[in-house]
Amino acid sequence: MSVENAPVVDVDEAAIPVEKKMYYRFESNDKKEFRVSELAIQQSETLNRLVEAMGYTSEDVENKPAIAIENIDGKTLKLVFQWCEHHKGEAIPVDDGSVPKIVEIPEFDAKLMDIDNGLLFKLIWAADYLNIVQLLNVSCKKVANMAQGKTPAQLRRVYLLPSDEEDEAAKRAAQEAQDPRAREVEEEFEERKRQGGNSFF
Amino acid sequence: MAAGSKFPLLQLPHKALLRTLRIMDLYHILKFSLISERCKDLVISVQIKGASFDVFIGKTIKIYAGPVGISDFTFYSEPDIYWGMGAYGRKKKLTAPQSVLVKRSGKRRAKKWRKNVLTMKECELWIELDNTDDHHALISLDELLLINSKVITAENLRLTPKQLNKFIKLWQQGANPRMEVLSIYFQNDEEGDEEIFMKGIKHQVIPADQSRDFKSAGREDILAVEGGMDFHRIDGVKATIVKDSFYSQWFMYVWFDHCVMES
Repeated sequence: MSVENAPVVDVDEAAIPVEKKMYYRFESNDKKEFRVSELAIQQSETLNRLVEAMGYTSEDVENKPAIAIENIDGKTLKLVFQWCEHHKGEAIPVDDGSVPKIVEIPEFDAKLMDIDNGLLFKLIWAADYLNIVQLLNVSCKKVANMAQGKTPAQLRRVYLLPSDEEDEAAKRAAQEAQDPRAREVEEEFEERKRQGGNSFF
Repeated sequence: MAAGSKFPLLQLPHKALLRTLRIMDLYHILKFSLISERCKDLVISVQIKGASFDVFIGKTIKIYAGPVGISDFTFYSEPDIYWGMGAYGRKKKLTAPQSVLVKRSGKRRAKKWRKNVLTMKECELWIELDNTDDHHALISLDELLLINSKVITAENLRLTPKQLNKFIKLWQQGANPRMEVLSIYFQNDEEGDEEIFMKGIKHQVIPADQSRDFKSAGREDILAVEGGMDFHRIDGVKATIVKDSFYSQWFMYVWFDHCVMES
């Protein structure tokens, strides 16, 4: 995709100081390109460190290939950068370890996250990978809110939580997949027991 | 988002999963912990800190958690009163008080009880029995012996002085090993004669004007233990029984090292 056709995230020009008006180009794993302000990038610890390490000039940004983010798709990345642009310049919250952790979802974030659960899932993975603390907070809050008014049985269904028995079965299956011989030995043992043998060996 | 849609919570990155649990309110964290062993382990790993944790068991279960922002909620009222897994995988109805007190050693540590262990390991567990419909069948000596709480407050407890004498003797032999404070209220001044209560128990009467400071784990306040009768467990741990005639109440304090305050 050419730079001219890249989906540019809405930017509040007046809010950006002239000296900070540098835009980086990023490319998703499905080759969609985004221009993101330097200030917005600071919301992501991962990207901020990356661009600092690269030390690009304004010319580099235009002339060099867009920075590839290979494990996030364009739809998700667009949400991430929209969020970063809206919250640029805001302080990054410090986790005080409290439980329950109090998180409010601002109106903008609520609208941004008015998406299906599949995309919300990807958004959380992206926020985690890019280390965007406040985006993680609000997206996790949205997931936590799904528990409201639910019984444990309903929670199991909403969050797709396996029962103890299902966990055990999955664990056994994983073990057997790792060691197919174990299953054969077990079957042989059972067969010998049926035949009345006292010793396996 | 569509109503009733599903979300694969356990497939989130581990840190995001724990963050989500930490953002849930305590009521839902508790419900989550009851779903499976894995969920319980996750909640434990969240490391919720609390100074006090009170459980009231009656027709409903009420839980009061310390400084974590929850003051009162009712948990599992009928018809959703079951809490654990019984024999052959059947749902097991909660029965007070055994269902909360299962972390003692011995036969009841079988796996079927494990779901009943509250997951807030950092909190002190308080249990009060609240069964206002039947004042005369609240707790038996056997049930009292099963309680593994550090602080036991039993209202309207019906134990004869002989039974209490037996309880103290069993405590001396190692029963209720974690117990720090036992308070038993009697109805109709039935606290019993001290001679029966302490029969066969080697003890020392402490003058009423002698005060010792006591602090139970998980409590901020220091209690003044005035007078009473001292006796010892088989391993040397000291306890004191104090009678409060005005309120028809007996207190038993166990002087673990962390409970002894300089007076």
